[in-house]
Amino acid sequence: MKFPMRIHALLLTLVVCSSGAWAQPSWQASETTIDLPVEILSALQMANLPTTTTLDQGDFFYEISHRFHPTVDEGYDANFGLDGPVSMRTAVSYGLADRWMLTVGRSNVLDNLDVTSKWRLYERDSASFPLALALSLGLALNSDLPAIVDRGATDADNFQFVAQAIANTVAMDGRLGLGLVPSYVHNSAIFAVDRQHTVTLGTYARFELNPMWGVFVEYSPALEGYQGILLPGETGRSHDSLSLGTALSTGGHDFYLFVTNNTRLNATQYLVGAPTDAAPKNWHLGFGITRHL
Amino acid sequence: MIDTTSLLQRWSFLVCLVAITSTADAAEWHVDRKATNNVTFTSEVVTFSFEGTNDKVDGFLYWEGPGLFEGKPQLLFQVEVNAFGTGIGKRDSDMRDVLKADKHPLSTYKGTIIGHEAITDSSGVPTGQQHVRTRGTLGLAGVERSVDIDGIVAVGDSTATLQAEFNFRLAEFDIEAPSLAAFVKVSEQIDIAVDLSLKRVK
Repeated sequence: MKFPMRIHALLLTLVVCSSGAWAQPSWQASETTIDLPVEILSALQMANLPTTTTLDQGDFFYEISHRFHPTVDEGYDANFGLDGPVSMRTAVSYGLADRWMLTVGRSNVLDNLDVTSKWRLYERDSASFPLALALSLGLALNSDLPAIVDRGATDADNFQFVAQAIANTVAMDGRLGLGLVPSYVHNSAIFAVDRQHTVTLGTYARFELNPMWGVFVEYSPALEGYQGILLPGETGRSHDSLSLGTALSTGGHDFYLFVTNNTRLNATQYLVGAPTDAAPKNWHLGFGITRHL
Repeated sequence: MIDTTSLLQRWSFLVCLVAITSTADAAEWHVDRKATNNVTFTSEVVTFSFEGTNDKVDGFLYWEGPGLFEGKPQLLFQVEVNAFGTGIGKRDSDMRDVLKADKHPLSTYKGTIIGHEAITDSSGVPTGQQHVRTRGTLGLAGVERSVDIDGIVAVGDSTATLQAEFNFRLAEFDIEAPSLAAFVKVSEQIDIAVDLSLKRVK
Protein backbone atom coordinates (compact mmCIF):
# COMPACT_ATOMS: atom_id res chain seq x y z
CA MET A 1 0.00 0.00 0.00
CA LYS A 2 1.36 3.41 -0.89
CA PHE A 3 0.58 6.63 1.00
CA PRO A 4 -0.10 9.67 -1.06
CA MET A 5 2.83 12.02 -1.29
CA ARG A 6 1.00 14.76 0.59
CA ILE A 7 0.63 12.54 3.66
CA HIS A 8 4.34 11.69 3.55
CA ALA A 9 5.24 15.33 3.49
CA LEU A 10 2.94 16.00 6.43
CA LEU A 11 4.37 13.14 8.46
CA LEU A 12 7.89 14.25 7.68
CA THR A 13 7.17 17.78 8.79
CA LEU A 14 5.56 16.58 12.01
CA VAL A 15 8.46 14.31 12.91
CA VAL A 16 11.12 16.90 12.14
CA CYS A 17 9.30 19.59 14.06
CA SER A 18 8.60 17.29 16.96
CA SER A 19 12.15 16.01 17.14
CA GLY A 20 13.37 19.57 17.13
CA ALA A 21 11.21 20.29 20.15
CA TRP A 22 12.30 17.12 21.91
CA ALA A 23 15.93 17.98 21.40
CA GLN A 24 15.65 20.61 24.08
CA PRO A 25 15.51 19.98 27.82
CA SER A 26 11.98 19.69 29.13
CA TRP A 27 12.95 21.34 32.43
CA GLN A 28 10.82 24.26 33.48
CA ALA A 29 11.98 26.75 36.09
CA SER A 30 10.08 26.35 39.32
CA GLU A 31 8.43 29.20 41.14
CA THR A 32 10.26 30.71 44.09
CA THR A 33 8.96 29.26 47.33
CA ILE A 34 10.21 31.57 50.07
CA ASP A 35 7.65 33.94 51.57
CA LEU A 36 9.56 36.54 53.54
CA PRO A 37 8.19 39.39 55.61
CA VAL A 38 8.38 42.68 53.74
CA GLU A 39 11.22 44.68 55.22
CA ILE A 40 10.21 48.23 56.00
CA LEU A 41 12.65 49.01 58.81
CA SER A 42 15.45 46.57 59.50
CA ALA A 43 15.68 47.27 63.24
CA LEU A 44 13.27 45.62 65.66
CA GLN A 45 13.00 48.74 67.74
CA MET A 46 14.05 52.34 67.97
CA ALA A 47 15.66 53.72 71.11
CA ASN A 48 12.32 53.57 72.95
CA LEU A 49 9.53 52.61 70.58
CA PRO A 50 8.93 49.36 68.70
CA THR A 51 8.97 48.90 64.94
CA THR A 52 6.84 46.47 62.95
CA THR A 53 9.87 44.26 62.33
CA THR A 54 9.79 40.92 64.09
CA LEU A 55 12.33 38.19 64.65
CA ASP A 56 12.48 35.19 62.37
CA GLN A 57 11.28 32.01 64.01
CA GLY A 58 13.90 30.66 66.40
CA ASP A 59 16.00 33.83 66.51
CA PHE A 60 17.06 35.49 69.75
CA PHE A 61 17.49 39.18 70.45
CA TYR A 62 19.13 40.96 73.36
CA GLU A 63 18.88 44.57 74.46
CA ILE A 64 20.68 46.62 77.06
CA SER A 65 19.82 50.27 77.47
CA HIS A 66 20.96 53.02 79.80
CA ARG A 67 19.62 56.47 80.57
CA PHE A 68 22.03 58.55 82.63
CA HIS A 69 20.41 60.57 85.39
CA PRO A 70 22.69 63.65 85.34
CA THR A 71 21.99 66.02 82.49
CA VAL A 72 24.56 66.98 79.88
CA ASP A 73 24.04 70.53 81.04
CA GLU A 74 25.60 69.73 84.43
CA GLY A 75 28.95 69.89 82.69
CA TYR A 76 32.26 68.60 83.95
CA ASP A 77 31.01 68.01 87.50
CA ALA A 78 28.75 65.27 86.14
CA ASN A 79 31.17 64.27 83.36
CA PHE A 80 28.72 65.91 80.95
CA GLY A 81 26.01 63.49 81.92
CA LEU A 82 28.03 60.30 82.03
CA ASP A 83 28.26 60.06 85.81
CA GLY A 84 25.68 57.77 87.25
CA PRO A 85 23.33 56.74 88.46
CA VAL A 86 21.48 55.29 85.50
CA SER A 87 18.16 53.78 84.68
CA MET A 88 18.73 50.60 82.78
CA ARG A 89 16.81 47.95 80.94
CA THR A 90 17.81 44.50 79.82
CA ALA A 91 15.60 42.37 77.62
CA VAL A 92 15.63 39.11 75.74
CA SER A 93 13.37 38.32 72.80
CA TYR A 94 12.59 35.14 70.93
CA GLY A 95 10.98 34.57 67.55
CA LEU A 96 7.98 32.28 68.10
CA ALA A 97 7.18 32.46 64.39
CA ASP A 98 8.40 34.54 61.48
CA ARG A 99 5.95 37.30 62.34
CA TRP A 100 5.44 36.74 66.06
CA MET A 101 7.91 37.37 68.85
CA LEU A 102 8.01 37.42 72.64
CA THR A 103 10.10 39.74 74.81
CA VAL A 104 10.90 39.66 78.51
CA GLY A 105 12.50 42.85 79.82
CA ARG A 106 13.39 44.38 83.13
CA SER A 107 14.05 47.93 84.21
CA ASN A 108 15.58 48.96 87.53
CA VAL A 109 12.91 51.64 87.85
CA LEU A 110 10.54 49.99 90.36
CA ASP A 111 12.02 46.68 89.14
CA ASN A 112 9.52 46.83 86.32
CA LEU A 113 9.40 43.43 84.63
CA ASP A 114 7.46 43.27 81.38
CA VAL A 115 6.45 40.46 79.06
CA THR A 116 5.51 41.65 75.59
CA SER A 117 4.31 39.91 72.49
CA LYS A 118 4.49 41.54 69.07
CA TRP A 119 2.69 40.37 65.95
CA ARG A 120 3.14 41.68 62.45
CA LEU A 121 -0.41 41.72 61.15
CA TYR A 122 -0.20 43.35 57.75
CA GLU A 123 2.40 44.20 55.18
CA ARG A 124 2.29 45.72 51.74
CA ASP A 125 5.25 45.65 49.42
CA SER A 126 4.71 48.70 47.29
CA ALA A 127 7.22 50.99 45.63
CA SER A 128 5.09 54.06 46.24
CA PHE A 129 3.77 53.33 49.73
CA PRO A 130 5.17 50.28 51.50
CA LEU A 131 3.39 49.68 54.76
CA ALA A 132 3.55 47.32 57.69
CA LEU A 133 1.29 47.13 60.70
CA ALA A 134 1.94 45.34 63.96
CA LEU A 135 0.36 44.98 67.37
CA SER A 136 2.25 44.73 70.63
CA LEU A 137 0.61 43.65 73.88
CA GLY A 138 2.41 43.55 77.20
CA LEU A 139 1.98 42.92 80.89
CA ALA A 140 4.26 44.55 83.45
CA LEU A 141 4.83 43.94 87.14
CA ASN A 142 6.41 46.54 89.42
CA SER A 143 7.83 44.73 92.42
CA ASP A 144 10.21 47.23 94.04
CA LEU A 145 7.86 49.24 96.19
CA PRO A 146 8.76 51.94 98.70
CA ALA A 147 8.46 50.94 102.33
CA ILE A 148 5.63 53.38 102.85
CA VAL A 149 3.47 51.44 100.42
CA ASP A 150 1.73 48.64 102.26
CA ARG A 151 1.32 46.26 99.38
CA GLY A 152 2.67 42.86 98.42
CA ALA A 153 5.09 42.60 95.52
CA THR A 154 2.56 40.76 93.36
CA ASP A 155 -0.49 42.76 94.37
CA ALA A 156 -2.91 43.37 91.52
CA ASP A 157 -2.25 47.13 91.77
CA ASN A 158 1.35 46.52 90.76
CA PHE A 159 0.41 45.10 87.37
CA GLN A 160 0.13 47.23 84.26
CA PHE A 161 -1.05 46.49 80.77
CA VAL A 162 0.17 48.11 77.58
CA ALA A 163 -1.12 47.90 74.01
CA GLN A 164 0.67 49.46 71.07
CA ALA A 165 -0.40 49.58 67.44
CA ILE A 166 2.59 50.13 65.18
CA ALA A 167 2.66 51.45 61.63
CA ASN A 168 5.82 51.80 59.55
CA THR A 169 6.53 53.08 56.11
CA VAL A 170 9.57 54.31 54.23
CA ALA A 171 10.16 57.16 51.83
CA MET A 172 13.08 58.63 49.88
CA ASP A 173 14.03 55.34 48.28
CA GLY A 174 13.94 53.56 51.62
CA ARG A 175 16.29 55.94 53.41
CA LEU A 176 13.67 57.64 55.57
CA GLY A 177 11.78 55.33 57.89
CA LEU A 178 8.69 56.60 59.64
CA GLY A 179 6.69 55.20 62.51
CA LEU A 180 3.45 55.86 64.33
CA VAL A 181 2.81 54.04 67.58
CA PRO A 182 -0.50 54.91 69.26
CA SER A 183 -0.22 53.38 72.70
CA TYR A 184 -2.44 52.71 75.68
CA VAL A 185 -1.20 52.02 79.20
CA HIS A 186 -3.62 50.63 81.75
CA ASN A 187 -2.86 51.40 85.43
CA SER A 188 -0.23 53.89 84.34
CA ALA A 189 0.12 55.27 87.91
CA ILE A 190 0.45 52.29 90.20
CA PHE A 191 0.44 54.42 93.37
CA ALA A 192 -2.71 56.31 92.48
CA VAL A 193 -5.82 55.60 94.50
CA ASP A 194 -7.97 55.31 91.39
CA ARG A 195 -6.99 53.27 88.34
CA GLN A 196 -5.34 55.51 85.74
CA HIS A 197 -4.60 55.13 82.08
CA THR A 198 -2.52 57.03 79.56
CA VAL A 199 -2.87 57.31 75.79
CA THR A 200 0.32 58.33 74.03
CA LEU A 201 1.13 58.81 70.37
CA GLY A 202 4.62 57.53 69.73
CA THR A 203 6.19 58.91 66.58
CA TYR A 204 9.63 58.53 65.06
CA ALA A 205 11.69 59.12 61.97
CA ARG A 206 15.00 57.54 61.08
CA PHE A 207 17.11 58.74 58.19
CA GLU A 208 19.88 56.53 56.82
CA LEU A 209 23.00 58.50 55.98
CA ASN A 210 24.48 55.29 54.59
CA PRO A 211 23.78 51.59 55.18
CA MET A 212 25.59 51.76 58.53
CA TRP A 213 24.91 55.21 60.01
CA GLY A 214 21.67 57.03 60.55
CA VAL A 215 20.06 59.75 62.61
CA PHE A 216 16.72 59.52 64.34
CA VAL A 217 14.20 61.43 66.36
CA GLU A 218 11.40 60.10 68.57
CA TYR A 219 8.62 62.27 69.93
CA SER A 220 5.89 60.82 72.10
CA PRO A 221 3.20 63.23 73.24
CA ALA A 222 0.59 62.04 75.72
CA LEU A 223 -2.82 62.57 74.18
CA GLU A 224 -5.13 61.65 77.00
CA GLY A 225 -5.16 60.35 80.53
CA TYR A 226 -2.66 60.37 83.33
CA GLN A 227 0.59 62.27 82.92
CA GLY A 228 1.50 62.85 86.54
CA ILE A 229 4.42 61.68 88.60
CA LEU A 230 5.60 58.10 88.37
CA LEU A 231 7.57 57.58 91.57
CA PRO A 232 6.95 58.60 95.16
CA GLY A 233 8.97 61.71 95.93
CA GLU A 234 8.67 63.14 92.44
CA THR A 235 6.99 66.48 92.04
CA GLY A 236 5.18 68.19 89.22
CA ARG A 237 4.07 66.15 86.27
CA SER A 238 5.42 64.09 83.41
CA HIS A 239 6.15 65.64 80.04
CA ASP A 240 6.09 64.62 76.41
CA SER A 241 9.18 62.59 75.53
CA LEU A 242 11.82 63.59 73.02
CA SER A 243 14.89 61.61 71.96
CA LEU A 244 17.27 62.44 69.15
CA GLY A 245 20.60 61.00 68.17
CA THR A 246 22.49 58.61 65.96
CA ALA A 247 21.89 55.01 65.02
CA LEU A 248 24.57 52.57 63.94
CA SER A 249 23.68 49.27 62.29
CA THR A 250 26.19 46.54 61.75
CA GLY A 251 25.73 42.86 61.08
CA GLY A 252 23.43 41.82 63.90
CA HIS A 253 23.99 44.89 66.10
CA ASP A 254 22.04 48.09 66.35
CA PHE A 255 23.43 50.91 68.49
CA TYR A 256 21.56 54.03 69.52
CA LEU A 257 23.37 56.96 71.08
CA PHE A 258 21.21 59.96 71.86
CA VAL A 259 19.99 62.65 74.19
CA THR A 260 16.56 62.52 75.78
CA ASN A 261 14.48 64.14 78.46
CA ASN A 262 13.04 60.76 79.47
CA THR A 263 15.05 58.52 81.78
CA ARG A 264 12.29 55.89 81.94
CA LEU A 265 12.71 52.81 79.84
CA ASN A 266 10.07 50.11 80.06
CA ALA A 267 7.01 50.83 77.94
CA THR A 268 4.52 51.29 80.80
CA GLN A 269 6.83 53.90 82.31
CA TYR A 270 8.23 55.61 79.20
CA LEU A 271 4.77 56.13 77.74
CA VAL A 272 3.54 58.09 80.77
CA GLY A 273 6.14 60.70 79.92
CA ALA A 274 9.45 62.23 80.94
CA PRO A 275 10.28 63.59 84.39
CA THR A 276 11.22 66.95 82.86
CA ASP A 277 10.33 68.89 79.76
CA ALA A 278 12.35 68.61 76.57
CA ALA A 279 14.37 71.81 76.92
CA PRO A 280 18.08 71.23 76.11
CA LYS A 281 19.07 71.84 79.73
CA ASN A 282 17.10 68.71 80.62
CA TRP A 283 18.74 66.41 78.11
CA HIS A 284 20.26 63.21 79.43
CA LEU A 285 22.60 60.90 77.58
CA GLY A 286 21.19 57.53 76.65
CA PHE A 287 22.22 54.52 74.70
CA GLY A 288 20.73 51.27 73.55
CA ILE A 289 22.62 48.28 72.27
CA THR A 290 20.79 45.41 70.65
CA ARG A 291 22.12 42.14 69.34
CA HIS A 292 20.23 39.91 66.97
CA LEU A 293 21.41 36.37 67.66
CA MET B 1 13.87 6.88 -14.23
CA ILE B 2 13.62 7.75 -10.54
CA ASP B 3 10.23 7.50 -8.92
CA THR B 4 9.98 10.72 -6.88
CA THR B 5 7.28 9.34 -4.62
CA SER B 6 9.36 6.34 -3.72
CA LEU B 7 12.40 8.52 -3.11
CA LEU B 8 10.46 10.78 -0.76
CA GLN B 9 9.15 7.77 1.13
CA ARG B 10 12.69 6.47 1.68
CA TRP B 11 13.98 9.86 2.81
CA SER B 12 11.01 10.27 5.12
CA PHE B 13 11.76 6.95 6.73
CA LEU B 14 15.43 7.85 7.21
CA VAL B 15 14.69 11.28 8.66
CA CYS B 16 12.14 9.80 11.05
CA LEU B 17 14.59 7.13 12.11
CA VAL B 18 17.36 9.62 12.79
CA ALA B 19 15.07 12.01 14.59
CA ILE B 20 13.54 9.34 16.79
CA THR B 21 16.89 7.71 17.48
CA SER B 22 18.53 10.97 18.44
CA THR B 23 15.73 11.98 20.77
CA ALA B 24 15.59 8.55 22.33
CA ASP B 25 19.29 8.88 23.23
CA ALA B 26 18.98 12.31 24.85
CA ALA B 27 19.77 12.25 28.54
CA GLU B 28 18.03 14.71 30.79
CA TRP B 29 18.53 14.94 34.51
CA HIS B 30 16.63 17.23 36.82
CA VAL B 31 17.49 18.23 40.36
CA ASP B 32 15.50 15.92 42.58
CA ARG B 33 13.81 18.48 44.79
CA LYS B 34 12.60 15.78 47.15
CA ALA B 35 16.13 14.57 47.80
CA THR B 36 18.86 16.24 49.80
CA ASN B 37 20.41 19.21 48.01
CA ASN B 38 22.72 21.79 49.44
CA VAL B 39 24.42 24.91 48.29
CA THR B 40 26.67 26.33 50.98
CA PHE B 41 28.66 29.54 51.02
CA THR B 42 31.44 30.31 53.46
CA SER B 43 32.89 33.67 54.38
CA GLU B 44 36.21 33.24 56.16
CA VAL B 45 37.16 36.17 58.34
CA VAL B 46 39.21 35.81 61.50
CA THR B 47 36.79 35.37 64.44
CA PHE B 48 33.83 36.26 62.22
CA SER B 49 33.62 33.33 59.79
CA PHE B 50 30.19 32.09 58.97
CA GLU B 51 28.39 30.01 56.42
CA GLY B 52 24.97 29.93 54.86
CA THR B 53 23.10 26.95 53.53
CA ASN B 54 20.34 26.63 50.99
CA ASP B 55 18.32 23.63 49.86
CA LYS B 56 16.05 25.49 47.43
CA VAL B 57 17.89 24.42 44.32
CA ASP B 58 16.56 23.52 40.91
CA GLY B 59 17.97 22.88 37.47
CA PHE B 60 18.99 20.30 34.92
CA LEU B 61 21.81 18.52 33.16
CA TYR B 62 21.22 17.56 29.56
CA TRP B 63 23.01 16.09 26.60
CA GLU B 64 22.16 14.26 23.41
CA GLY B 65 23.42 10.96 22.12
CA PRO B 66 24.17 7.68 23.81
CA GLY B 67 27.59 8.65 25.10
CA LEU B 68 28.17 10.44 28.39
CA PHE B 69 27.91 14.24 27.89
CA GLU B 70 28.15 13.50 24.16
CA GLY B 71 26.16 16.04 22.19
CA LYS B 72 25.16 19.59 23.04
CA PRO B 73 25.75 19.14 26.75
CA GLN B 74 24.13 21.91 28.73
CA LEU B 75 23.33 22.59 32.32
CA LEU B 76 21.48 25.14 34.36
CA PHE B 77 21.20 25.38 38.11
CA GLN B 78 19.49 28.03 40.18
CA VAL B 79 19.13 28.74 43.88
CA GLU B 80 16.64 30.93 45.68
CA VAL B 81 18.72 33.69 47.24
CA ASN B 82 16.06 34.30 49.88
CA ALA B 83 16.48 30.74 51.12
CA PHE B 84 20.06 31.13 52.33
CA GLY B 85 20.15 30.73 56.08
CA THR B 86 23.16 31.66 58.19
CA GLY B 87 21.56 30.93 61.55
CA ILE B 88 20.91 34.60 62.36
CA GLY B 89 17.81 36.15 60.91
CA LYS B 90 19.19 39.69 60.99
CA ARG B 91 22.27 38.61 59.06
CA ASP B 92 20.07 36.80 56.56
CA SER B 93 18.01 39.93 56.12
CA ASP B 94 21.11 42.09 55.62
CA MET B 95 22.45 39.55 53.14
CA ARG B 96 19.24 39.66 51.14
CA ASP B 97 19.55 43.43 50.97
CA VAL B 98 23.14 43.25 49.79
CA LEU B 99 22.25 40.66 47.15
CA LYS B 100 19.20 42.66 46.03
CA ALA B 101 17.11 39.55 46.46
CA ASP B 102 13.86 41.42 46.06
CA LYS B 103 14.76 42.26 42.47
CA HIS B 104 16.94 39.23 41.73
CA PRO B 105 15.52 36.34 43.75
CA LEU B 106 17.45 33.68 41.85
CA SER B 107 21.15 33.09 41.37
CA THR B 108 21.69 31.04 38.24
CA TYR B 109 24.57 29.20 36.64
CA LYS B 110 24.01 28.34 32.99
CA GLY B 111 26.71 26.66 31.00
CA THR B 112 28.02 23.81 28.96
CA ILE B 113 30.36 20.90 29.57
CA ILE B 114 33.69 21.52 27.91
CA GLY B 115 35.45 18.38 29.04
CA HIS B 116 35.29 15.38 31.28
CA GLU B 117 37.35 12.40 32.30
CA ALA B 118 36.71 9.35 34.40
CA ILE B 119 38.08 9.42 37.93
CA THR B 120 40.09 6.37 38.92
CA ASP B 121 41.24 5.14 42.28
CA SER B 122 44.86 4.60 43.21
CA SER B 123 44.86 1.28 41.33
CA GLY B 124 43.59 2.88 38.17
CA VAL B 125 40.10 1.40 38.49
CA PRO B 126 37.30 3.79 37.49
CA THR B 127 35.27 4.89 40.45
CA GLY B 128 32.20 5.63 38.39
CA GLN B 129 32.66 9.35 38.87
CA GLN B 130 33.48 11.87 36.21
CA HIS B 131 35.53 15.00 36.65
CA VAL B 132 33.56 17.51 34.63
CA ARG B 133 34.75 20.89 33.45
CA THR B 134 32.05 23.44 32.68
CA ARG B 135 32.05 26.94 31.29
CA GLY B 136 29.15 29.29 31.65
CA THR B 137 27.58 32.38 33.14
CA LEU B 138 26.98 32.91 36.83
CA GLY B 139 24.32 35.44 37.72
CA LEU B 140 24.15 37.06 41.15
CA ALA B 141 22.52 40.28 42.32
CA GLY B 142 21.65 41.20 38.75
CA VAL B 143 25.22 40.90 37.48
CA GLU B 144 26.42 38.13 35.17
CA ARG B 145 30.00 36.93 34.90
CA SER B 146 31.64 34.23 32.77
CA VAL B 147 33.16 31.54 34.94
CA ASP B 148 34.65 28.06 34.67
CA ILE B 149 33.46 25.63 37.31
CA ASP B 150 34.71 22.09 37.81
CA GLY B 151 32.67 19.39 39.43
CA ILE B 152 32.30 15.69 40.03
CA VAL B 153 29.34 13.87 38.56
CA ALA B 154 28.37 10.28 39.31
CA VAL B 155 25.73 8.99 36.92
CA GLY B 156 23.68 5.91 37.77
CA ASP B 157 20.74 4.34 35.99
CA SER B 158 18.12 6.72 37.24
CA THR B 159 19.89 8.92 39.75
CA ALA B 160 23.03 11.00 39.71
CA THR B 161 24.96 13.19 42.09
CA LEU B 162 26.86 16.36 41.44
CA GLN B 163 29.42 18.04 43.65
CA ALA B 164 31.30 21.22 42.93
CA GLU B 165 33.39 23.75 44.77
CA PHE B 166 34.35 27.16 43.51
CA ASN B 167 34.78 30.68 44.73
CA PHE B 168 34.29 34.21 43.56
CA ARG B 169 35.01 37.69 44.78
CA LEU B 170 32.12 39.93 45.77
CA ALA B 171 33.58 42.82 43.77
CA GLU B 172 33.21 40.76 40.58
CA PHE B 173 29.46 41.10 41.05
CA ASP B 174 29.62 44.75 42.06
CA ILE B 175 28.84 43.84 45.66
CA GLU B 176 30.47 45.81 48.45
CA ALA B 177 31.46 43.54 51.32
CA PRO B 178 29.07 44.40 54.16
CA SER B 179 30.17 44.91 57.75
CA LEU B 180 29.84 42.17 60.34
CA ALA B 181 30.73 44.52 63.18
CA ALA B 182 31.74 48.14 63.26
CA PHE B 183 35.12 47.63 61.62
CA VAL B 184 35.03 44.03 60.42
CA LYS B 185 33.83 43.24 56.95
CA VAL B 186 32.60 40.09 55.29
CA SER B 187 35.38 38.33 53.41
CA GLU B 188 35.79 39.55 49.86
CA GLN B 189 36.19 35.94 48.74
CA ILE B 190 33.15 33.69 49.06
CA ASP B 191 33.61 29.92 48.84
CA ILE B 192 30.76 27.90 47.42
CA ALA B 193 30.13 24.18 47.85
CA VAL B 194 27.41 22.44 45.85
CA ASP B 195 26.01 18.99 46.55
CA LEU B 196 23.05 17.98 44.43
CA SER B 197 20.94 14.90 43.76
CA LEU B 198 19.53 14.44 40.28
CA LYS B 199 17.00 12.09 38.79
CA ARG B 200 16.70 11.02 35.20
CA VAL B 201 13.72 12.29 33.27
CA LYS B 202 12.34 10.01 30.60
